[in-house]
Amino acid sequence: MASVANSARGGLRWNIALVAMAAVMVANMFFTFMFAPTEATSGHVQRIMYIHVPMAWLAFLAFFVVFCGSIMYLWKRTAKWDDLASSAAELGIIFTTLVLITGPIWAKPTWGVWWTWDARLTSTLVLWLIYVGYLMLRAYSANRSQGARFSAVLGIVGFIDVPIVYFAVDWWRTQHQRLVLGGLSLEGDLHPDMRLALLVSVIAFTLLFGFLLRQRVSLKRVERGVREMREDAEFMAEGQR
Amino acid sequence: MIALITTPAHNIPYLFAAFAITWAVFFVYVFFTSRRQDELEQEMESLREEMRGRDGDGDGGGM
Amino acid sequence: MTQGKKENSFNADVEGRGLLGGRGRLFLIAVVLLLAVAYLIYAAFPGSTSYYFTVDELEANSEEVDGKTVRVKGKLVPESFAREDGGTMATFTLHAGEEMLPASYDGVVPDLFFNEHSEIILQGSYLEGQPFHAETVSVLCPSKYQALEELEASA
Repeated sequence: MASVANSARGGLRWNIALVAMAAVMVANMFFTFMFAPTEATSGHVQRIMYIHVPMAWLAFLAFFVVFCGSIMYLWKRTAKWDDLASSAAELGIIFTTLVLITGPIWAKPTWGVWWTWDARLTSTLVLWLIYVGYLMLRAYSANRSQGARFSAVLGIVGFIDVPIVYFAVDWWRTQHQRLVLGGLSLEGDLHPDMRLALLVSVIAFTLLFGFLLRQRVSLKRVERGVREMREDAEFMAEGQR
Repeated sequence: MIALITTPAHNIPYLFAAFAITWAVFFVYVFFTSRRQDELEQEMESLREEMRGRDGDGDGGGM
Repeated sequence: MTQGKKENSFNADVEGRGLLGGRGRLFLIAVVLLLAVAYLIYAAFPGSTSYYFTVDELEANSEEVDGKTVRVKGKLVPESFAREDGGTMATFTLHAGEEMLPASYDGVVPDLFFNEHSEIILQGSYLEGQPFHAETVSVLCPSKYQALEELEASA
């Protein structure tokens, strides 16, 4: 069990990886604030894009991991898939929260309002509620395996909202521009240097997500190990009485 | 007539806020998971001690 | 035997925390969440095919929407913006093609309001034949992200 704890933190290789991660983040900051040109109509505030868009991407990615982990859990019924899905759900909520925080901060100076009930904002809020529900379901289930099963179902069904959030700007009239990014974008235009800065940011934050997910999964494993040890200890104590 | 302002300098605090909040959230998250890890390691250590002590008592458990 | 115990720990009952038992509370959470989601969908989506009317659509549907709260999108007619002397009341005109909509707003307008590429969304109650009084003004930004440095250099 000690090896599990150590693998999550400490260890030379892990430390080297952390330093590399920090270097990538510094490079990312350089691209965001120095390399990317200032946007012509809204000015420096447009640089919020380099954090808002990666957070949205990571939320989608995290919930995709929840989706896959949930399917694997229902199929294999091994706790490691549940660990993966629930860890990714936690991180996905953090990313969605950051989307919901950085969005209004960007909207106020550009749109003139903090929030509006358009299809994308509403479906993003629904996304947040679905996965908060996922965690609540786990916290208040009668037992852990029931919580894991119920939340896995929600983790699969709830993923339907991800494409809704993404395509909302094309399916309905919203306050957002239509799809600017991705192979499916129909209109819109992003300066090549801005595109590169955004790509760097997406890669950097995806690496960070990888680290956080690995950390969280191994923490869950340790948590389960400790719980089992405690139960063993109680069992033994009972046997001695 | 109000002049057209292309790059409003008063928008900089918004930019700062977005980045500061994001990084603060990440650091708080890492802080809490890291503290949880310390707690778990301590608990594991104390449980191990406890079990070792009991093993020493005689019959021992069925590990 | 150890295997059996592991299974137990995963199934360990945590019922009896708080006022409601596991199932009751689960049910309550499900109901609250469903209601919240249903309300949000109700609030945003039925009208979302018409999150806004364009100025010409508003004119075409003027009888239906008379007296209702609506959003309307249009472009600012250049030079139409004027402010009451010493006041905060602003009047301006939006257009979509040939259709014009005189409007008013009491307050500060967003920076990008005056940008020639911006489209403006007003929210307020529409009264046929009267200038549209906006309660909120927001800007739909152009989807072009251009470099200021390059525009300045070419200017």
